[in-house]
Amino acid sequence: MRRRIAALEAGGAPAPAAVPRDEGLSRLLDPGRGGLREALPARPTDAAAAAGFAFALALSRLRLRPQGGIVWIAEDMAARELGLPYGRGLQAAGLPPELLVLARTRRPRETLWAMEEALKSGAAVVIAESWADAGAYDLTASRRLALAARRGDCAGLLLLPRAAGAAQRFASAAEARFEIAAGAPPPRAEGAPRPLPGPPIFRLRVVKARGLVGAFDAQAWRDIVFDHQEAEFHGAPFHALPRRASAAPVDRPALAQKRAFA
Amino acid sequence: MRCLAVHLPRLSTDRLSRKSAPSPDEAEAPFAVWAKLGGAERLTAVDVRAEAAGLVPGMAVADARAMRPALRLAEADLKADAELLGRIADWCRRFTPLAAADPPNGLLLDISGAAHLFGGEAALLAEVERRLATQGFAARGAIAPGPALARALARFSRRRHVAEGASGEELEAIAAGLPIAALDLDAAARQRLDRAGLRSLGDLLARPRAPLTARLGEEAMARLDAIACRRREPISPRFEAPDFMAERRFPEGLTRQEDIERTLRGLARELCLLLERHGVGARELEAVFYRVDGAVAHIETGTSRPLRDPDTIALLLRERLAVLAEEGLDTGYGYDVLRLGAARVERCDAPQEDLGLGKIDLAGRENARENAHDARLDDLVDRLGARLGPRRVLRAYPQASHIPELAVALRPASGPAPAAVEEAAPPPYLRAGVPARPLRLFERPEPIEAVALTPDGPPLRFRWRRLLHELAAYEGPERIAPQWWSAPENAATRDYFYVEDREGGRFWLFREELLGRESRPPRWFVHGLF
Repeated sequence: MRRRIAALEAGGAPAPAAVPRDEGLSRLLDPGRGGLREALPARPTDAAAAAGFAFALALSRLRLRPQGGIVWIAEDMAARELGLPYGRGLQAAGLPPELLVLARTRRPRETLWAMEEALKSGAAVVIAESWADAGAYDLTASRRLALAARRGDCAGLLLLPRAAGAAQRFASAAEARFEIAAGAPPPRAEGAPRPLPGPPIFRLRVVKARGLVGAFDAQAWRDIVFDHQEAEFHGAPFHALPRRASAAPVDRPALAQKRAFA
Repeated sequence: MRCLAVHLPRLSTDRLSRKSAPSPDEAEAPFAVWAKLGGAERLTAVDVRAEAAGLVPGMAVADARAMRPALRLAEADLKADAELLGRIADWCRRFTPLAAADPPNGLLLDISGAAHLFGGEAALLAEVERRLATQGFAARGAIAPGPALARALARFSRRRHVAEGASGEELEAIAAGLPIAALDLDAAARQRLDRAGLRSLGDLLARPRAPLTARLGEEAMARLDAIACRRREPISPRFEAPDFMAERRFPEGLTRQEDIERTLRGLARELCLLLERHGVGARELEAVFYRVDGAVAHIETGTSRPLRDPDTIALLLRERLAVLAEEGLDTGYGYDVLRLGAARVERCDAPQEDLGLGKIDLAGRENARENAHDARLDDLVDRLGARLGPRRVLRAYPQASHIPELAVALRPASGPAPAAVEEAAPPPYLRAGVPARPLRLFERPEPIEAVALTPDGPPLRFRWRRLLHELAAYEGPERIAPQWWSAPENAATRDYFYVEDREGGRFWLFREELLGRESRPPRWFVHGLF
């Protein structure tokens, strides 16, 4: 019963009694899903991976709404620790720079306010990075954000790099919460040359998913890879690690123009 | 044209006495301000008591001390005086939007058509003087048809009001009664005139013009004409009065935030009607709050598109007001004049109304939806900018540069896109699903300790933020040299490496080598994260 109510609240059809595990994940990562989500790094060093995951999620949603944009809210402290989103990097990953609005905030309170405004307006996908602690980001704050997201029919993703590793003991009104770690590269045989880096792998743990109760084992890690060309998540690995070879020309601007939402 | 001039003869001393109330035993002492003029220390301003004691500006400090041993002295601060004068001019805009500072110690107000709001010119003059007096400024005003005459009257005459319909002869007669000093001549010229027995402007006005011009110069004659109102002279207001503005006055000051917000909403509605009549929309909004006790608060906010919607304007102003409130909006005894103006406008045509014919093609509707979406994003940008400051809401514009930190320019999103978008080199290289540029870039590269196996190879391990990272995979180097046409003396080449460590962390490192000084050990930096 409770599961059905949760599912209705999330705006979907009643959940089937048992969702197969991977189907659950793809439903969770379904770009059509709005609402407020949270991403927390597993360790402080995984903050960049969590941010990359947030961006990938936003990108996949953006593909559904070609006229949309991304509002990226970066708090000063988070920017100092993690750097600012880099236009050329985002461009390389498939986001035309004109779709990005970067808002810089000074304090967690401002970040949460800006995120709420952005969600309410429904104008774009919202990513916010906040150095907030439990005092600033509590149930009330998250409830406000979740309501704003529902009102604006908007997807928001809040990144909390400071709360690294705290995903399990942490309460909020978000639709879903992910704990993200960077996927380690496969071990190298003794004496073999160092290979080229493969596509980034996200190790992902779904700590909370409203409307999909019981579909996830909160302890299970799974690896996924984001395919920038298709703007889709795949189970990992979808590419074998490339072997070291002489560098081929890699400038392929045609690829960017071919992007799904051109 | 009606002009009100105010003379603040004791601006410098008033400024200091207002700031710090002297102790009781000092309060009776005369007070003067001095400055170093041409190597000698001289008084530049004196207060009432000092004047009564016979001290005048221009007197040497030593002489003044000798005359009045109790004299309190302070050094002149011309900058502070000018700033204060500017602020008083701002405050005077409560009477008329055309108010200007008249340095060093005067104000000019164009009160054409404004006096009736205060019960006539005489009442307005009294009001200005009274309000300045309650704030601790000695002030003398005069109203005349020309600024130069009003100014001269305020300084050198007992006459304070020249009636509206005064004829040319009457004006000349009034000017004739003024002393030569009203012309602001230099000391030598004054002395010459004095020696010739010319004491008042009347003496000059009665003389033949050509020889006088030869002696005094064109400029002084122009001033003479201006005082006699023979030629028109406009005043230059400190701020241009906006073409579109609405204002409300309250007999009692507003203190409650809700009241202020409600008033602003009303003003926004009035303003929008005005804008609509002229077919324009506001690009810059300015709200000015005049407090009963003289303080003036400004709120300015820009908009990213011409705006003519009262609700949106009110919302924007509310955000700005919220910032003020957070910093502590001190309403004091309340605001009695609120004014909302559009400082910059742009043409804005009304959207075409749907006539309800039901014959709209799909493309049109799609277009409309897209426009609505753009409008929403613009509104959001404005709202964020109003609260965070426009410099904190940015858009990224690609630049034609291969230096990573120069390849993207972040500009305020509310501003216009740069007119000439530089054709950027195509960066989106993707290799096997790996973007070649990091998602995040540090504002300044962070130095790391690194050990490389070969001189041009990647570091085997490096220490960043006290953590040791072991290299697992890498790509590189990609050499990025400084722009030779604009490189500073100590510019360095950078070799970039895309590095993955054993834990899966991905970094964009570079090794910096100074050009021509390759013998120095290279320095390593983390520039970005993937």
